[in-house]
Amino acid sequence: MSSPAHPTGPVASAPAPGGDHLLEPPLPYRMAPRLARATKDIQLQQFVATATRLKDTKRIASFEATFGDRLGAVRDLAASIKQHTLDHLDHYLEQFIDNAQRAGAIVHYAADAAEARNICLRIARDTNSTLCVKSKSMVTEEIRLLPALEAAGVKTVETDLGEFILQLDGDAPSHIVTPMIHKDRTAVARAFVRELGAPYTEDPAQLTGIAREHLRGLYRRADLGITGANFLVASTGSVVVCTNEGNAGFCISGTRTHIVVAGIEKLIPGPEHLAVLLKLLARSSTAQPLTVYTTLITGPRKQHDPDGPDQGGVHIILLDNGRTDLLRRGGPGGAREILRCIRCGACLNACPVFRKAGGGHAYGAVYSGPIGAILTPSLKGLHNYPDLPHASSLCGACGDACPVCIDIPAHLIRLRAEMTGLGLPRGMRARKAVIALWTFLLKHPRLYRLAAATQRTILRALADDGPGAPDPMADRRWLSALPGPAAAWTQHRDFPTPPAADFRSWWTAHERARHGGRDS
Amino acid sequence: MTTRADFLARIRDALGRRAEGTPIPPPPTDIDTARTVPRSATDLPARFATAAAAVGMTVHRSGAADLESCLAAILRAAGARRVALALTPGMHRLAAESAARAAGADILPPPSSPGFEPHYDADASITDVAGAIAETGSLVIASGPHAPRAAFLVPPVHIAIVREDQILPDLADFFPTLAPDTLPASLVLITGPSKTADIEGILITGAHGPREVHAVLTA
Amino acid sequence: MKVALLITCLTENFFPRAGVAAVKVLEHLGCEVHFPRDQTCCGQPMFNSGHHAHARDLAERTVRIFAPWEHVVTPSASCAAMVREHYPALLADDPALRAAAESLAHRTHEFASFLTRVLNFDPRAHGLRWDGAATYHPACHLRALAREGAPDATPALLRSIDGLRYTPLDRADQCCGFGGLFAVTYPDLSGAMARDKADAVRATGANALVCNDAGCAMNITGACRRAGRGEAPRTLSLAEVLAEALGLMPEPRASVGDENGSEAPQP
Repeated sequence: MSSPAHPTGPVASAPAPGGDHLLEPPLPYRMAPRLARATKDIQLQQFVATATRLKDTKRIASFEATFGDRLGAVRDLAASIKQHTLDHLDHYLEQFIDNAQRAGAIVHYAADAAEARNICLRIARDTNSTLCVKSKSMVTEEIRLLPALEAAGVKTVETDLGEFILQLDGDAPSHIVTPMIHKDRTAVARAFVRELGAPYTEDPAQLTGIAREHLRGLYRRADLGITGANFLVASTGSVVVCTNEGNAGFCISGTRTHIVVAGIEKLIPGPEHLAVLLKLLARSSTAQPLTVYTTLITGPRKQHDPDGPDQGGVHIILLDNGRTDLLRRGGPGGAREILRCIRCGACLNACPVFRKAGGGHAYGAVYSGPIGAILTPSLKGLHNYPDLPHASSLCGACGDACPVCIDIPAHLIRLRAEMTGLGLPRGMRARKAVIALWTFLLKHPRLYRLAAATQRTILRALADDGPGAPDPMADRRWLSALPGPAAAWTQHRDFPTPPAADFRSWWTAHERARHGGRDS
Repeated sequence: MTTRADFLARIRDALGRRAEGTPIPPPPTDIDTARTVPRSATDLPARFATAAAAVGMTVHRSGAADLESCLAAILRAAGARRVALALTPGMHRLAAESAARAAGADILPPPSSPGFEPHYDADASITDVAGAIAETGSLVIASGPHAPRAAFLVPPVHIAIVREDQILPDLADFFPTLAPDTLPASLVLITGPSKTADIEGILITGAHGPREVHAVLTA
Repeated sequence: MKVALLITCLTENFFPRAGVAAVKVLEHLGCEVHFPRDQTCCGQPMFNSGHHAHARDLAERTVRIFAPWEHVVTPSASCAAMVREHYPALLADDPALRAAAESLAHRTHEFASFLTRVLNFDPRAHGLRWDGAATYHPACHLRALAREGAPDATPALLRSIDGLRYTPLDRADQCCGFGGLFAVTYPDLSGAMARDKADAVRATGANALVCNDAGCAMNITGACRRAGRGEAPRTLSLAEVLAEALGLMPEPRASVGDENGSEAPQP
């Protein structure tokens, strides 16, 4: 990594390694090229399908076994806790800041990604840190912290196994919780041979062991640890970090300095609310009752504690970075609801589009899948991510999976409506005209019937002659190639034409036979 | 640079609030809606044992008199040569020290901040707990003068001594008891051995932390 | 009981037999069925694509057209969900219309749900017989209806028919990929999802696919036919299965055949 002239400058514009490009593409981001590749990559789709389907099935079974009929009430409670906190976020943030400071943590305020990066760099410089171990965190991906630290000369290592492998490969996470669903063991084996000089093995246990030993060597030398936060507890000033691997424990407690980067939506009022949200978080992610390590950090080590970060060594960076824009839009169905998200990844695992898109890279941003499709355009602008709200069949699986009852399909539709109002994206102007004409026909029944009859005549004429059917209602012809934009349909499917007979003619005859012509 | 006042003012503005200190309604309190183990449950050790086994821990039941031999057997089975202890002075600590001697293992000195040295050299650790949760099979470990965080994290084998009367039914019985004045710097709920499934979804234990977690239930 | 048929535009134009079957079954069960001729489309395509002013106009006219009837029945799950879930909010700007929309939302039923929940239809009392192997794709919009406490009644009805060998679809609840305009704006995603569904249909070995939503039916039957190189299971609605099982279908060929050539718009 070359050393930039201004280490604390606008790092986002610094040349990025290939992998970062995946989550920070040129804007506006259009999905088509990546989708075209992903939908042709059957192996990729299989990796993603296997990973997500298994988790989805286990999630459903786990909730059924744990809560049974009460699941709805528990989700409602979780949603109300998060919503209440967001509705009074100023109050709970103040409380959190006061309590965290009282416990000895240093709280920082970052209006945007650049400010958050700069605060991290300043802390690294002030503590003379040269080696940073970092736990997996979406928010640090969001602010692109790692390249900034590296550019400033702080060697930074991702310690979550999946993220570690992705870092070695110059790749980027493709799932909020399980970042490496798009890769298989052979890719790991090759990366370890190439980057670590390890012997070639495809055995996941041996590969994990290689990473464990390598990372332990780094933990012993590291002087800075960075994590995100799953929750911030207002009444105690605690930071809650959940991991299964235990890597966050090394980043939190094994170095002199610990930096927490947390979005402001992570607040909850009190520790009692953890009893509800933690029960949903791990089950939604991986069908576990709780993550293996659920860590509450309340300030630096106390006077007689043998280990843990020094006095003045715990820093909490509160990040806005567009969140207040969502907060501003409260009320039922407003964007504020999106901030309830606890990043469990259940909606990604439930989503058939996510599977077919080959995982998160197709979404061109840190937050992918259904939640990403509403969160990314909300944080970064609809004009920058015009495709995301449209790349959904609105099947509703995501909304049903969400443990905090975010009605994701409703937000997708809301964003589509906002885009229509903004005249976005350009390519959809033609569609807008078609829909206006279509609506006009539908408001005028005679024209509608004329159009329907014309459509039937044209489509049946275009179609090859069918074999015919004795029942004209079942006498259907098929088209294997439609013209114009409708050709998209017949790329993958045949198109059924209207049958020879139509409903209204039948109804007229039926009415006549039944009542002598009484009309409804 | 964004100050606390700027930061909060922006949020207050987004929420449409005029001033700080506006009274707010209480947060939801019906935590029991999410309860899965009744507060009155009497079979907590059995429930804990079932839940802990389900998440991959090994559960041992031991009388007060057998504690030392139970710990020594686990240390021997693990082939532990160096043991880290994180126990407050008392009966459990004495039993752990005797068990280490009986198993022929050296007891490591506590770690010296910063960092976890010398626990990277430990083969096993024995800790006590601040509590346990029957619902999830979790061990609750609080940092303190005799409880380094390295002990439950770094050695490949972690042995936790749990008194049966420390077991709470449900997370809903545990979290509401936490108060800012009594919280340790680090409070960890451990629910199984360190795990990863990042490679093809295949579950591997011992990703970064212990490969084995033993819960020794004692009266 | 007076019932108005909300046939919906896709059913009317692409699956008219489903509408005929719904009328016949409802009449057989003692309903007086009406067909308000000014009905066109519930506005779902406009709503889902974010053209809410247009959707609102269509919702308003649908609310007015169906105001007179005690019950409104539709053979299309997604249109039932459109009326029930979204109309009140779409018309919220006008209190009177909103009230009318809420009333319509309560009076509107998906066909299978109407049979079991309003008519208390007991299949065993009717000597149903339908010979063949069938499978069933539940439209995703039934999720929304199920959340309101109206779980999908179709599988139980299919199982209760003598002679019908019912095989559930593998991953039945996975979306077929239709999604309205999604099918043509993201053809590769939509097509891949449709192929999965077609594979699942083929794996059942069924010669009939039951589906209570015209959009899903167009998509799945088209995908099955493409995968089968022109061969595909027959796709039909629950109403058609019941009409056939009750001996009400097929319609006498001559009476419909007379109108076969009549493709002029009807007044």
